[in-house]
Amino acid sequence: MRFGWRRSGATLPPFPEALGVTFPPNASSGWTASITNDEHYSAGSNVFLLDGRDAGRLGFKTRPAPPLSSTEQPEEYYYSVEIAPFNKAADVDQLGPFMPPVLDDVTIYYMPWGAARVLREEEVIDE
Amino acid sequence: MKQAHAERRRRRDRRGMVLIIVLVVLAVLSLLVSAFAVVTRLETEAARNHLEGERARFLAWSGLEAAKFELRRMGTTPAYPAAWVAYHPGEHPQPPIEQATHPSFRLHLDPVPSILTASPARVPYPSGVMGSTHYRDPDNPQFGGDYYTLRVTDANGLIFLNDTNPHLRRMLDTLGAYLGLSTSEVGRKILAARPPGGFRSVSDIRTVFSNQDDYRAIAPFLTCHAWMDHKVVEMGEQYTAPDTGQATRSLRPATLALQSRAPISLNSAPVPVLVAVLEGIGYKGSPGAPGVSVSPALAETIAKAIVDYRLAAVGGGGSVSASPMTPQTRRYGFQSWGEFYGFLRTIPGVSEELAAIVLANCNPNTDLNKLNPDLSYYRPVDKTDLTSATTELCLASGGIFKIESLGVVLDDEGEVVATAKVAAVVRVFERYVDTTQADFEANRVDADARNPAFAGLRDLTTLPEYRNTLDKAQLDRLHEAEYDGQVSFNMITETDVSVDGVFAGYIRGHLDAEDTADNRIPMLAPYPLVRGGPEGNPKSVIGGSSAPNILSPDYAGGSDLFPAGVRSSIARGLGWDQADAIKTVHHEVPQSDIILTDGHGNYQETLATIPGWDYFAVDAVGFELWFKPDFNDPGLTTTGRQYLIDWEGGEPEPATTSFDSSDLTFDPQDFRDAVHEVYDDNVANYLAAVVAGGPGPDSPTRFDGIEHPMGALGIPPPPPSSLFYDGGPLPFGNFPYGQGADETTPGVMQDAETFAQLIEDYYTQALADLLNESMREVEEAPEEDTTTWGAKGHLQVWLEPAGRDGVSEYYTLKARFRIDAKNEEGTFSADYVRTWTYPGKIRAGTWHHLLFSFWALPPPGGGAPPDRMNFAVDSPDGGGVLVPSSTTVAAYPTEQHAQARIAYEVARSVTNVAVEFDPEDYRVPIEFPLGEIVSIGRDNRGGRAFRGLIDNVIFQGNWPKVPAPAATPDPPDRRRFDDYRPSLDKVVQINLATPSAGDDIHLFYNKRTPILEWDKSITVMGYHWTAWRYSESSPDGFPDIPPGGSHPVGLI
Repeated sequence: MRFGWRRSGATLPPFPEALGVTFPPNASSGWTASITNDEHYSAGSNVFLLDGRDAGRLGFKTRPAPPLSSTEQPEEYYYSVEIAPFNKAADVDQLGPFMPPVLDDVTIYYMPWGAARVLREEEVIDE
Repeated sequence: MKQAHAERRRRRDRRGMVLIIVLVVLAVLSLLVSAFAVVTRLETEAARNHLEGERARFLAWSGLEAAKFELRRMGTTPAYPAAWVAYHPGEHPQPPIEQATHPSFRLHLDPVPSILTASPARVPYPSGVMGSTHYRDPDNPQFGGDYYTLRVTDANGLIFLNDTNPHLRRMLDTLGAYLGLSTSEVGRKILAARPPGGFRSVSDIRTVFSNQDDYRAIAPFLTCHAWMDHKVVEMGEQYTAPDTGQATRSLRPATLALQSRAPISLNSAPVPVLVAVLEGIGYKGSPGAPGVSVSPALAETIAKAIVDYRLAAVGGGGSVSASPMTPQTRRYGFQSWGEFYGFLRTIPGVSEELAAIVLANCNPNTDLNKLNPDLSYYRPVDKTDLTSATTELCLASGGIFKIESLGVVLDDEGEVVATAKVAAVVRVFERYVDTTQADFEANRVDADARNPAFAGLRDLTTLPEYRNTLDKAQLDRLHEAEYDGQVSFNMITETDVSVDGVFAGYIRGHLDAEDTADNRIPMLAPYPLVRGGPEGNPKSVIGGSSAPNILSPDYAGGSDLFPAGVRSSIARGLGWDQADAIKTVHHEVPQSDIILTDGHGNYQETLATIPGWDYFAVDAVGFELWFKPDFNDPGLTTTGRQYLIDWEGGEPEPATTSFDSSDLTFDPQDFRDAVHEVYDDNVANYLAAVVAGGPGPDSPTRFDGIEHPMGALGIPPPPPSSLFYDGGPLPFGNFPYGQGADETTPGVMQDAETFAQLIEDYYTQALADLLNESMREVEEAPEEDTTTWGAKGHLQVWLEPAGRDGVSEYYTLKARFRIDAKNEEGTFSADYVRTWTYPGKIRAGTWHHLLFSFWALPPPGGGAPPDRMNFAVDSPDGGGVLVPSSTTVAAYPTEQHAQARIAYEVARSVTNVAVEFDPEDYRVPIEFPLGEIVSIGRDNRGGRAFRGLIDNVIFQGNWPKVPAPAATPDPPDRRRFDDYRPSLDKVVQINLATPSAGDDIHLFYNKRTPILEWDKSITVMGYHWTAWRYSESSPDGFPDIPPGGSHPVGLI
């Protein structure tokens, strides 16, 4: 799975057709790298972490929808799930039919604030 | 002297007073000093206490901020140790925070100070140290006496008090019972006290309990804030069938109602909460009273095993650490539903059935077998089967956490001098879920078909119903499902339904065969059509898209029993189990009612009546349907045949030819010659007898000895008067016969030539009258005459169990056409039997698209009918095949046309010579009209029902499909999940191992996600998905595809 970005008006880059295709972080459009190992997994939140387009693995930073300046355009965001065709060689032991993978749900985790939002806070006097 | 003495004495007395006064003063002063000292000391102590309390408060607030920071850090840090977040991970019961030895974010201290290892705990273990006002540990100076202890709880690990889940009350009751509360009916009382706007704090329920110990016991497991999943389908005991009063095995008007619920996190919920979720989940039995359910003891066993599992070294050997110093944690708890299902199977006492029940209840994806296109996520028990439910689980936090922070100050001796506690509920991150077909279809940006002719087709499709159509207007009529959905391969081929008789093309949106001109298939089959019009006219059993209601089908639309995108709250005929579901749908002819019956064949309701049902006979039919065999259930009789269709034709009737009586003409001269040949001598003899005063009107026997020409046919001899008298003078003098009414008047005798002509004319006319009479009889009673042909042309298509590969059962598809002849005793016996066996395997649990063509009739001119049994099963095991008959049989029964046969016999018996009329011209194959009943999904006798689902049944008369010759080497009806890519308009080579060897072109599901487009920069942490894929090599056969990692086959 990858996330894509595109500045308004820019052409959405072709969907990556192979693993390892990367785009410069400042590109007007591109896709994040595909996660390929468990190091990107956070057990704490049970989330597969997304690379930032900048260096580091702090998640994928979006850019504000309203332009920051006259020269910067807001961005649109996409996600892409790549489904591989059947590999008959790999499935040689497959006695039955080649059933397709079925994607049941996709959950995206994001932090829209700079800090955790307090929903309720109290001092516990007596319990 | 005395005065002096007295004066001295007075002086001495005054000195004593002074002393007393001084002493008193001193005492008062001492008292004041003491009082001041006490007051000062108390004030100092109070000030110090206040100071320590404030210190503790600030420590607590600091802990709160630290927890918020760590929770955010957790969200973006690879290998963040989940166990470090957990409070007393794996323990139950958990101590209060004041006695915590393993708090959340437990501080790593090495060595561990001795005061933190005392048992029982003297002081709570720190989550963070802020300083050392009084105490600094002699063993480890890092531990100062000013610190905080944290207890962080995932809000979705608790029971959400403000949930609208109808099963909340029972869950609270279960929780109360498990905790041993003295308060009864906890659920009812709490919900009765819930204000319309919901509880604002858990402490709001304090008044519910007269025993505050009960409140303190249950409060830690409750929350008033939680992440809500707004796309959960309510299932369970929603049975409302007052009309039948039957609680079991009858139709269930499942409404697939969407509901907002707070799922319970499988990876953070404590044991009591898990018990509340698990206990009572069940199916079978009756709604609310399941026959099989999770017992309280088993629920506790599973709950404790879940808690233990979180800390187990799973997931490729990754260890679980509760220390930030060893953050090598790769796994914590369950990553996927498949993992959870496999875990359940390992628990003693949890049968496969129970595991399936728990998964059906707990997986937020609806995943109904009725909608499952394949084995990919087959469920032994799905949500519609549940008779008792609780709420769903989730695998990850919803981003909302409860934080308890205890600030602690120790004195010089390491004793607690001050504590303060603060609590907060914080939202750390958000989660967005695409899970329904409507979600997946929204904002898709996938490449469309490159070929304009295929516009509307995509490489990947969404389920539950495939969304393929070339007709944009039609696509707009199909509603995306809002209750569930998946993304999967499209089921397409590169060839449209063809005019040359080729079976399968891409499945258009009107799979259900809209009755439109566009959907009529031109009938240019290679075999001559002798009945029907120029077009086929497929019809769907059930339609309905603009009015997606099974009870009010819309035949103009393209939909079916489970229409694409039926919106929620539409009543539908889902059964309690598949045995009661669609398998028993059948239709009757000519009423063409579609009747839903229960598993025993008993009438339940009439679903629809199809007007204008005009398919043709059993011996020349094409039909298609989708079917999905169920797995064998030992409790049900599924070991024998399971009929997809059972069709008995009516009584045979004249075939497509007809007898024209004008064919039965006789050349007058030929006939005359024949008469003369036979009767010349007799005519002469007759005349001689007349002249000799032969027979009179009352004595015809005088002609005895003269052969009566037509006596055998019952034609009387001609009356003499009409033969001999012409009204003129008798040439032979007085004739013994008179003329006129009394035949006493002498007449004129004809001459011999005229006499012969009269006889001939007489017999010709008599013969013609006889033939006409016979023809009238033939025409008036054709059916009576056709009973000699046999009866009951009978077509059956069925499945037979054929074994098991791995976890997958499979069936063999067979067909038989048989003609039963009626013997002299009036009973039937097989006279003509042909059977066919489809060579491919038919897998249980997966949809198959069966296209079936049958043409029993021999070609004109006779001969055996060709092998026109053509199966095309849309499965990976084969495409359309021309299946030769496996039975060697005699020639197909034929018969002369009944009228022709009778007429010929008459003519031949009359003339006793061959006439110019060949009855073989009227030899035709026998044919059958519609019978009384056509059963789909069962045999005509109400038994041996197909166990599974049948959908999209389409009949079409005159559909003798055969693969086009040009397509034989490369049948255009391709395998399912084939390699045609609409986005490229070509067939690609699939070769992942060596991509350069072919067009290793993956498929992409792409969509825009406006939810991420904010007016400020946000951080997208990551993702999680649930995906499935069937695998024979997996122990369970249905492994999921975990997110992350590189999967050679599957999702990337």
